[in-house]
Amino acid sequence: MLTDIMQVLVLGSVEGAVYMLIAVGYSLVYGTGGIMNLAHGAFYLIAGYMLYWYLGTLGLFTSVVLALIIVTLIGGISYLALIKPLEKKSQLSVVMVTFAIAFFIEQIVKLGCSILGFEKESTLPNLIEIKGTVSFELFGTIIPYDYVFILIISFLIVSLITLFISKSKLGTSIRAISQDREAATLMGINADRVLMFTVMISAFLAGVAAVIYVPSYPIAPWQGWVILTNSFAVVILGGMGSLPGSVLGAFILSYASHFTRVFIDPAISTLVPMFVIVVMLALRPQGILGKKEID
Amino acid sequence: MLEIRKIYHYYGSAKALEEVNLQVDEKALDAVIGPNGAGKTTLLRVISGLEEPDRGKVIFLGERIDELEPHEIAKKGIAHCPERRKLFYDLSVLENLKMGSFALKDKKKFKELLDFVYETFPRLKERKKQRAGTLSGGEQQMLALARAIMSDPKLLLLDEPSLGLAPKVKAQIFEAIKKIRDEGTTTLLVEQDAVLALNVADYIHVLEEGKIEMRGTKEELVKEPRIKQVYLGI
Ligand SMILES: Nc1ncnc2c1ncn2[C@@H]1O[C@H](COP(=O)(O)OP(=O)(O)O)[C@@H](O)[C@H]1O
Ligand SMILES: [Mg+2]
Repeated sequence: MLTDIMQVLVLGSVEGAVYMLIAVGYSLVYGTGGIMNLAHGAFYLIAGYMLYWYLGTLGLFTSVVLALIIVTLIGGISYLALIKPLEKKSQLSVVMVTFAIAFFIEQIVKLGCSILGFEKESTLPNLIEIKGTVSFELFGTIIPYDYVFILIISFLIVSLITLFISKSKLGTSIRAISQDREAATLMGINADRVLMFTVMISAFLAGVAAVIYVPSYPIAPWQGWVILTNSFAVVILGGMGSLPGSVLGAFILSYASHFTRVFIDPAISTLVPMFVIVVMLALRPQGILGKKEID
Repeated sequence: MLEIRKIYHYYGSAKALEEVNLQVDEKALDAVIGPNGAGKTTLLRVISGLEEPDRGKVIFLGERIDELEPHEIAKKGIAHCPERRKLFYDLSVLENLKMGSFALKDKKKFKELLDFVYETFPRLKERKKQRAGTLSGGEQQMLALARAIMSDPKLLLLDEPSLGLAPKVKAQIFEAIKKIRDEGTTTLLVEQDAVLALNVADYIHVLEEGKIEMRGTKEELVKEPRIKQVYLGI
């Protein structure tokens, strides 16, 4: 019983932290530009696979840095080349194009694995090793050091992003645009450029989530869609565009999923995000902390 | 300083501006008056780039600006204080002012402008930490005006700054507008309240159904029977 509870607590916290990183970026882009980015899960894939492909030849540090740079750049390019030109036309065309980007990236990842000779689904070695061991024991549960690292990095990065958005000039202009884009342009703010930054930040956050989580959770090309669904559930739960909401939503969803998995049925636990989406849209579409509804 | 040449603007097939010509000289305070739906807001939106005119040119300091993006026009030195204020309601008063000077590079100038704004509107200083959305209507209008001048503009566009305000607050806002003009900022004011506009402006343009129907100084216009009847109610 105790180890069951420990499982829910430990795995729930770790996955919650990862989803917090992913959902904060997703929510930021939606809140600032009203962009529903279906390629967000694919950003996770890019960084995850980059790490996986490079690790053997370039070593951990270089692989991580390179993976993060590439995913951030792909975020920026996706916005400039594909999202921005359609953004003024219609919301639907943006949704369609980000869907296409997601699908494209998934295929590229599969193709890359074939060409480079990697298995499509794989587990990576642990990131952290202390005195020859990769884990410690707590209340009869084996906990990898990686889990502690995931928690530290996620909270550190989310705190830094929050600080950046609430205090810096660019951060203030992100908030200004999310409130009134037209008024923001009258201040001389180049809204398109700021949006490009938010998409890059969001891709970077998904990338960080990938590089810290891929060693603990096997990567697979189809994961992009699961991550997308889960991010969507998190921001619907917490409130679209609300960063504290994403943090709260990520942990609630993650604990709920793991609780269901351990105490009810693993098959049902994969349906928890779907259930959350449907129930929240029906009962409280603005989420727990959100102000605006999805439109 | 600002020259509008033969501007036409349509919303779909509905005409909003028809062959509008208008010129504002350096350091002048010009007003555009006209009834609701005359096209006043559209005119300001065309100048600041929020609407692209269907025909015609907008020339600012000798340069065509009608094909530029709004943020580029703002950087050229045109500040547009829009209709219904459009503040950043979840940002604090001070953050709104900082956004106003987004394009301003000079830190010292920022401090100077902030001092000027706080001196003109002491209420804003008292409430600088408060969310803009919590201010009263009058204070919000002060903030909108203050935010516009925080960019140290060469040309200030004001869209109905008196809308929905009590007479006392209106008077306060117009005092501030005069003060800003006296500091040397060229201003183009759009107003439905003709009495207020005539009292403050050097030159007045009358816009009706998208066309400039008349223009002149206050002294010239008050002699016109149509102005007396329609706008001044005497
Ligand atoms: N976004 C818009 N779409 C369609 N018609 C508009 C729009 N904005 C204004 N109009 C129309 O254009 C005309 C001029 O409007 P406007 O410039 O707002 O006038 P004013 O500011 O003098 O009241 C009006 O007939 C108005 O209904
Ligand atoms: Mg108007």
